[in-house]
Amino acid sequence: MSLRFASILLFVVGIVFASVQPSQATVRTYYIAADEVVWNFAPSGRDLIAQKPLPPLLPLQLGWQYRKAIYREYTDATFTHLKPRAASDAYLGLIGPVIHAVVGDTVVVVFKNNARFPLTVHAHGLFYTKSSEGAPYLDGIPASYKPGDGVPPGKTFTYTWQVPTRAGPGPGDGSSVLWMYHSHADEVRDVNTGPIGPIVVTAKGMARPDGTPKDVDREVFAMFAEYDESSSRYFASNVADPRLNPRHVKAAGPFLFDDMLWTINGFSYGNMPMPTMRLGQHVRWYVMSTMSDFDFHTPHWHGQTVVSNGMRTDLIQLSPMSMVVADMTPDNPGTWLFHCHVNVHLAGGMEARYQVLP
Amino acid sequence: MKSVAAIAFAAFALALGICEPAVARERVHYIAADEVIWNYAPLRMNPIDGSKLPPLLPTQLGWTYRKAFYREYTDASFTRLASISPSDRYLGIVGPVIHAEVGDTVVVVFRNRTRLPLDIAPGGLRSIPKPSAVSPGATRTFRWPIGDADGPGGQDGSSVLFVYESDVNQTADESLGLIGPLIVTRRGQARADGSPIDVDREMVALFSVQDEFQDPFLSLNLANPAINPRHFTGHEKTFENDNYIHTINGFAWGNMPTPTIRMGERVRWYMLSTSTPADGHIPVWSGQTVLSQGNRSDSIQLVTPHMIADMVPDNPGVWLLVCTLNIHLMNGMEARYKVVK
Repeated sequence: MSLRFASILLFVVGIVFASVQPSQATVRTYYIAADEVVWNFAPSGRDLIAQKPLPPLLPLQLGWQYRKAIYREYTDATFTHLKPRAASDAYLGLIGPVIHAVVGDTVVVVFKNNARFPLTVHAHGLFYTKSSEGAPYLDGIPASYKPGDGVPPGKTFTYTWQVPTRAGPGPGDGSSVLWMYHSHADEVRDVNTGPIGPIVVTAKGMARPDGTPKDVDREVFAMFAEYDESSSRYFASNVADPRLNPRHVKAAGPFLFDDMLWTINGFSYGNMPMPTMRLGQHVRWYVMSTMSDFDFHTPHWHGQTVVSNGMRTDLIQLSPMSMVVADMTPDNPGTWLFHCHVNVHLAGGMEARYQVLP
Repeated sequence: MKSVAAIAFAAFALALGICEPAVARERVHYIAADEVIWNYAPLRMNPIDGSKLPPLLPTQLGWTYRKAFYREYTDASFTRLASISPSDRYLGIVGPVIHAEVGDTVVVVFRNRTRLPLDIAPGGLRSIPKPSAVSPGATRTFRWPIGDADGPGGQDGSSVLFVYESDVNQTADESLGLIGPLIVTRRGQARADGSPIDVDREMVALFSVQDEFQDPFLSLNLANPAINPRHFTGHEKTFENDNYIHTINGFAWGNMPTPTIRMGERVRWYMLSTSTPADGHIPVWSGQTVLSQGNRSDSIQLVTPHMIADMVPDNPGVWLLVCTLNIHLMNGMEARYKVVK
């Protein structure tokens, strides 16, 4: 065998090896705690869209502030430093850190429960084994194998989720899809209590190193939620807290209409900081909802149109726990309304604004 | 030369066999509407969390009511029920699964064995006139020709779903429990039994708020001390609200037998709903994802009476199938399914 032949062979083998070697599977690790916060649904104290005072409190409404538990991202496993959120992301409000992943990746969530009752992290769409499902029920697997089904106060648990093809875009989807993660220890009460966040899964070959889709310039997230604070795990303690209940309202849940708040990212009556975008950008809106009985929403963008599921529209439909993607190329500068079109929700403050810069 | 001719002939025959248009078939079903005493929670507990059933609401009759269901028989004598395989026990109150390929005619020999005038009619098919009611005890044969307009559209997979039900008095008849699936497969994509060739396992789930107050058997149920041991009159202010039962395939609180599907199978879920004002469901699967209308998801909006979702299970274990609407989930609209290797 001549040297030349050998080198050609080696070259060919090298090419074949390089081409069959799987692309680097990335492990994406997030440090996420459930933290107790006093959340103000209308921090300006005003209806910023109508430029008038907030509507008067309902008879059994505690106020606009409630203690909640929300997911927040930390820099490392010591959970001492919050990962700062960019000013341009302030509109995310009480929704948890955005988890990005690409088909083929593994997502690791190191979860610390800083709340006063057991909580979990349950992912939609991603592949989890029973030990990382974060949802207790009788499935034939002993509870001792599933500590993630209820992380006690102060404790940490690591969830591992795979991202197979079936967690990525389907044939009718764009380059990325939306899932969500939320606590599922006592699902209905947990979701009303607050811990919830978005997951974006991008198709293989379509992602930047940070997992965002290459063909998208700006990702915007919006969660339409009817928070039944009377179903929150904190309701009794909120009622007992004179700072949160200065009128000493005697209220007991669940399903108290007066303590239901209509929110986008945890803000009512236009109090959401405005997300901004630029003319001509490819903006992808990821829109989701929580699971209350009135969580049927029809988000409507003023000023621009979107394409969702291949259809041009300016309004999409959400039902409980919906995850919908809508793509927008802004062509109309200005400050525009983004709101739910269901009468009672709009009247209840489920409205926000977004800004298109030239 | 002889062998070449034989091969050519064989190839010709094979080609002929492939090209031959699908034979239009008559698919005959013997279906009766039967009165049944039905228990929504036969396990008398909630096997999803191991708890007891919730205490009866103040004016709830119980978990057992007289209902009427569509059931399949072996022949026109209506003496022997068609056997239901153990793997299909989870279907509960759902009427027999009727398959047809576009071009077929479904023939339903229908016997009304209840005390009420009823019928059986597919919703949504183009060519079916509304039938007149079949009197109690009477038998009538219905023919449903399945035309091209009844089959899958361009965006659909190989099969589409319709519901058949009794529409003499639709709301009341749905409250009886008279509803079943009609699956129409695209021409040329069906097996001999009418099921789509590109699907390994068909699953049916009926999400229904059963409104026992609207049930035409209400007076019978009230008069029966075995069903109404607390002797309610039905005029109590809370009665209607307390006698909504939140069910999947007629089972509440996880009492549906757990169906088993296999990893890697092409599973098609046919999702049905009744249409009372309390219906409108968001079924969500844990453990796997589905494709519906080309979109990847783990839930569907069942605000129309029927939807399809395709799943290729890749995650073994026992998983949840529930309605994610708070008030439905908290009232027992939950079931499990199992994925095995």
